[in-house]
Amino acid sequence: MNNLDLAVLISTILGIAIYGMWQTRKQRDLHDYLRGTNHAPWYAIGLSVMATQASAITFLSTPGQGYLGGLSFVQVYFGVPIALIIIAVFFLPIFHKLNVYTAYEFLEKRFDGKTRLLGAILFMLQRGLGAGLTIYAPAIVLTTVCGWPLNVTIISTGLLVILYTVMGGSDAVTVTQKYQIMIIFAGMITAACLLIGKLPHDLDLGDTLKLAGGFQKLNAVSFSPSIHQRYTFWSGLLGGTFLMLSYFGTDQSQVQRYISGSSLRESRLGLLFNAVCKIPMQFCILFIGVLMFVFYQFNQPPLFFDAAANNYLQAHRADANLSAYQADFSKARAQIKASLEKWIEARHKGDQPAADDAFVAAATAQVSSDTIRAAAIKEVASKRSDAKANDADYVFITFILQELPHGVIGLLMAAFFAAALSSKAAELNALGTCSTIDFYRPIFKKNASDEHSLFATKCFTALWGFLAIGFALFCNLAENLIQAVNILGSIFYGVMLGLFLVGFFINRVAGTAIFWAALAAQTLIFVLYFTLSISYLWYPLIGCAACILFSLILQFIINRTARVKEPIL
Amino acid sequence: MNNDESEAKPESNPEIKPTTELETDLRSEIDESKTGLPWPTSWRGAYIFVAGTFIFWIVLLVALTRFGS
Repeated sequence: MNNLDLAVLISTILGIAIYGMWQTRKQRDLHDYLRGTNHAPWYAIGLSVMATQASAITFLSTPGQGYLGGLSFVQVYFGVPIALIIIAVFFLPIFHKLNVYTAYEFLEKRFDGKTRLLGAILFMLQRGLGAGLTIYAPAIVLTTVCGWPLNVTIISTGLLVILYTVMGGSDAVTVTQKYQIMIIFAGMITAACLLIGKLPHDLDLGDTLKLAGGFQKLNAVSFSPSIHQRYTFWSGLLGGTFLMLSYFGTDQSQVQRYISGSSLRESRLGLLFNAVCKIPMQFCILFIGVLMFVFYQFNQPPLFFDAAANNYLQAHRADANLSAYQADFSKARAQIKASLEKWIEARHKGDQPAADDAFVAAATAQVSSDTIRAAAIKEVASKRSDAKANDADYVFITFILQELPHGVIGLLMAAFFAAALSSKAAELNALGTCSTIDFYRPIFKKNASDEHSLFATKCFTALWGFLAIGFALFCNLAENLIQAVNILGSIFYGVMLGLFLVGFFINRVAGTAIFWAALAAQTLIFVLYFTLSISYLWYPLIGCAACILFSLILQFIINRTARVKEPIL
Repeated sequence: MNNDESEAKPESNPEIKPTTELETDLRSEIDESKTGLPWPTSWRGAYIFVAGTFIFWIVLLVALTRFGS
């Protein structure tokens, strides 16, 4: 990064922060801080919902996911349109009618205080842990760019986020997210255009797709019925629908965004905007990864994308084993390039047998290259514990730093920070709100004034920020970042969704039955997670189904004449 | 508003909503039943549009998978 990049980065980040503070300067009371001034139009709501979900992890890790695993990850988002239609039709009118600050207030109105508390605790637990991961992601960027120690970077980034979040309320989050997402799109579109320009000039669109497909990178949809295969059409459609229904319908960080709409119509349109845009958006981000794969078939990639492993390699150039790995790797990559150039030439001449032979040679060299990389990373990991075998998170940032011009690097850094700030602000805002409204006020300070509650919300927001830093410092990721966040969510979301679905649609179930059913279902999910090896996308479905089923059985057993509160539907 | 004007007003029946309030309620209800967009204007149309784009993307992704394999 040079001075131009730093200028772009700093001016963007400071500009966003100052704009957010300027927007909230008239904010005086609790309602404005928690729900905003209710003037947000549908497109602001839509962009805010999108920015909350699309954190820095999405833009850092997803292209790497596309580079390594192809397009299959897009199947996770197949449930989004269905889930958002269900929320727009059933959930949203109830939240608007009840005029709630948090989604969990509904649980008390429908069931009782302990069920509301359980829902709030489940949210705070999984979102608090997830908040640590979203601090970890931008820290990787800074670590790679500036060479700072990861822990120092996590702490400094976390403190900046806490400051921004505590000062800005819900309205500031919504307003700034609109501009943050524009910067993100500008950065990603610029990167994609430059990447396309860097592909070999004799490679047309058909060649690019055939090449990527030949290396299994266009595997967008798999109809395999296996429940052990992580991403399939079925796990995405069924499991993904439940995961997204839980996330958008019961996670306060999202609910708080769309209930801040000026009317039911604006909130609903904001959700439907996401229902239309989410799959194409994720496809485009993954496709950038696929294009990077094609680019690196004609250009020498580093032996390691992982920054820690790469730094180790640079510092131990004299190591005989590592030098041998590097030489073999370079040889294999040169063979891939030569074979693919022959493949293009034969393909354009219409010589199919020669093209097939050249492609087989390239594929063989690719296998050899992957084997060398795996052996090398294993050796480095045995000497340096922070070097990871799965370096998907570092692929895109490596490409940006090595291949893109200055100024664009600054723009993309600003985009990552904008994404990190937007999602983090929404998360901490939701955690602070939930802690005060669902936990502190009902239990410890029932007659708290609005001023006191506002102060408490700011304190809780800061506290959650510090806890997130703690989790980020101590988390040891086996999966890549985006998957880690989704796995964490899938463990808790199913039961949370079960609570809400029973509340909305099954009037015969009362508070005690649903409370114990939810606890039993959550225990079941923990047991299944540690004993089975099924795709994590199935856990929200299983958790939700178990919660509903247990509640019906318990209600039948406990007391058939239990008085059920009046349904609010 | 001065005091004379307020005293001159007839006593209102609390069970009967003033016309302006009824109009506001009705307008609000109509507003919520329409998307307010040039197209699609109804919510049903909006949901069908979302479902249509979803199916379009699935078909496109399946075609891409088949092309690559």
